[in-house]
Amino acid sequence: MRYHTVIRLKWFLFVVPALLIYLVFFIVPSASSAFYSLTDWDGISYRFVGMENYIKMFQDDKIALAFRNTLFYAVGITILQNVSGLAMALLLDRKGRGVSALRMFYFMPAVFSPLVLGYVWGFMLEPNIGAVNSLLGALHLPSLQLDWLGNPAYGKWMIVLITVWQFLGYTMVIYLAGLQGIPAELYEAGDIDGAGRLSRFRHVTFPLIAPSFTINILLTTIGCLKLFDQIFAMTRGGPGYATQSVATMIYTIGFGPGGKWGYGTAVSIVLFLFILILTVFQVTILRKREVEM
Amino acid sequence: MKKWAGITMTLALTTVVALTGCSDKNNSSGASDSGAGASSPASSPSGTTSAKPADPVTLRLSTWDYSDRKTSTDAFIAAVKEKFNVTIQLENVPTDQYESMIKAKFAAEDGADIVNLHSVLPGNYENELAQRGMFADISDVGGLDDYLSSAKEINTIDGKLYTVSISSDALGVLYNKKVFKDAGLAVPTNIDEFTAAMDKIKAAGIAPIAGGFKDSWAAQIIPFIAIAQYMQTGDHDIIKKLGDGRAKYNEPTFIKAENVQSDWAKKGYFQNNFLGSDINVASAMVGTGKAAMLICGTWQFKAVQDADPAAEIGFFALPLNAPGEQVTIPTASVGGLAINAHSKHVDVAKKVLEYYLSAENQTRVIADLKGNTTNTKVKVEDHFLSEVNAALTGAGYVASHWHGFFQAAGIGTHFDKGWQNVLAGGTTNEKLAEEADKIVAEELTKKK
Repeated sequence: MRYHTVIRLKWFLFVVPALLIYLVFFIVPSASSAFYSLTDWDGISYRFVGMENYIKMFQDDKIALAFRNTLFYAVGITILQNVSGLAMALLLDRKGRGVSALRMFYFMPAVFSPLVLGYVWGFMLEPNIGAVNSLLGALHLPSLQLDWLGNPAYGKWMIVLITVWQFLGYTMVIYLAGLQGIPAELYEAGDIDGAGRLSRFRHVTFPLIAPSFTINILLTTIGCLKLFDQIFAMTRGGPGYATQSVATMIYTIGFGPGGKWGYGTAVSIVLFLFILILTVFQVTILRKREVEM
Repeated sequence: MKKWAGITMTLALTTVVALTGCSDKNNSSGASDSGAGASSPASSPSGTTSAKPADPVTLRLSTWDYSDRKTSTDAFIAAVKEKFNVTIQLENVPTDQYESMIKAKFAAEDGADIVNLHSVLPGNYENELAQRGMFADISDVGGLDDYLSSAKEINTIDGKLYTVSISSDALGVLYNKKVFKDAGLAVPTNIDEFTAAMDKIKAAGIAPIAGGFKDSWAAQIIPFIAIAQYMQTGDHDIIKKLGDGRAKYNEPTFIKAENVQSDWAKKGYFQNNFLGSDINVASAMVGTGKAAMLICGTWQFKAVQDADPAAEIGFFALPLNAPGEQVTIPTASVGGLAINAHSKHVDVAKKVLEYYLSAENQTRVIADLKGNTTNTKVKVEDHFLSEVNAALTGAGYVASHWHGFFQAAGIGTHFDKGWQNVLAGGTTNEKLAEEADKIVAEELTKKK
């Protein structure tokens, strides 16, 4: 009995370092966040205010706008990135000269930091000296020289498009892995049954890449709900609050001048719950259509 | 047995690595952190003439403005090394992240030895840090008598001096003289002349004003000047009154001040797509003659001039005054260095500060800043500064700019992002003022 206890303890020791790291860097900060969300902490001092931050949040137009924008980013990016990623995967799921190079080419932006690429695009889309408007000017297309990031309507779409451009390759790779796992016999059977391209995709490919679909949809949605880097680098949430996501709003509230860290923490708790609920809902729906091979 | 030895070794190594990581926090002063290093310079009779201390010392210095003061900061760091054998480890942080960085560092007892501050005026986070004993009293630093008393008074709390404001920047119009000359324009002295000048420049196909409103802080400058002209001129205490509830934001004069910028935007006095350009692009537009004027603080001169070193850049007060009235110029106090009260090298830092405040060093700083020095021994010959001084001398009233001082927490951000939001059509000036009154009321209720 004592011997078995010692053995169990020995294996437990291996878990201790990871557990400590998890405790120090995740559990403790999360627990303290929950506490600070009930205070008016400004980074220097705090006072317990109960649910005041949560009540205030639901009356705050700017927070509501940030949640609406976040949903816009999540839906827009998730749809565009998955449609284009899947299309790209279908095009590149073959053998031939240059296919590997193309796969690498499309995947490459995903390797870079979103913040760095955001700044690069920010410079390129600058309306007065940026490369995009300069090019449009050189092509005698002045009507297309727009304020790509300063106009709220274009700014949000630019954030969507640039995020899709950057992570398209990432989505593509996951779909490619799914496509390459589909047995060739199923397509052969489809051919014998006289299935056309669309029919093959609908009845063979799409059901069998369901696990890839699930993981891609989940990763993209969660990533978009936490979208920060691209917005921070390109528009800083502006003009005004027009392109703020919840994550950048938390930063503005907490880390802007006169920072309200307690309030920002309360918003981050709500964002966490928002992501959790949406993810559970998505997993439940998407798992149902997965096919066992 | 061997297995247990392996496990023990793994755990020991993990612990050592973890503890090493933790210990870095306290090792703030770099290479040779010995007590000798700290005491040697302190015992020297004079900061600027003392011999090198026996041991080198490294001091961390936090600031946000290295890009504006590169030349003078580099010279200061080199001189400090040469004179005191002190290595300055510069921690330059972007402006919008500076406050949170300082708060977090001081909360974690990891604040730099020397910290650049805006001031310790009420309403500033620096005020709260000072009140909590985070900064050392620098009243005993040599050379303070060379400074104007006002530069020290605004940084004194309960008889303790925490920093000295080294200069005062004027908010006004930085303009390209060639554009004005080509348009046959003289410096305008009232709002009618100014509006006529803007119309004439616009008709010539040049943007009258370059707006760098992608940076939300840049959207504050015109409202600051308008608040000074319309409100502070008549009531010098209005800023305090707005903060303590004796005056309201949501009243016609404040709205009139806010409307100046949004009206000009509607009339097309800024370049196209001004919300997508940041302050550096706007500065470059004036330097290169693509725009005539930049309405900003004098600190922005370098960015304007750097765009074209041959350009002639001048300064005048933004004349929002009606004909026959006098113009008001708001000024922004430029902060100074403070010393972390918990630094291991407070005495060394004081010697370094003494040198920083010396006329020799401040001459270089002011040459970079283009501000009005508060050191009576500093003389800088500069055509741009001469124009700034002439404008200040000719002004009817020189106000301290509205910047959230004496105001409720968060009101600075409220207007900072808010005025940018007004330009983007996301809100109205009336709504902003109304919300500001609510914030003040909430803060006052809390205080009660």
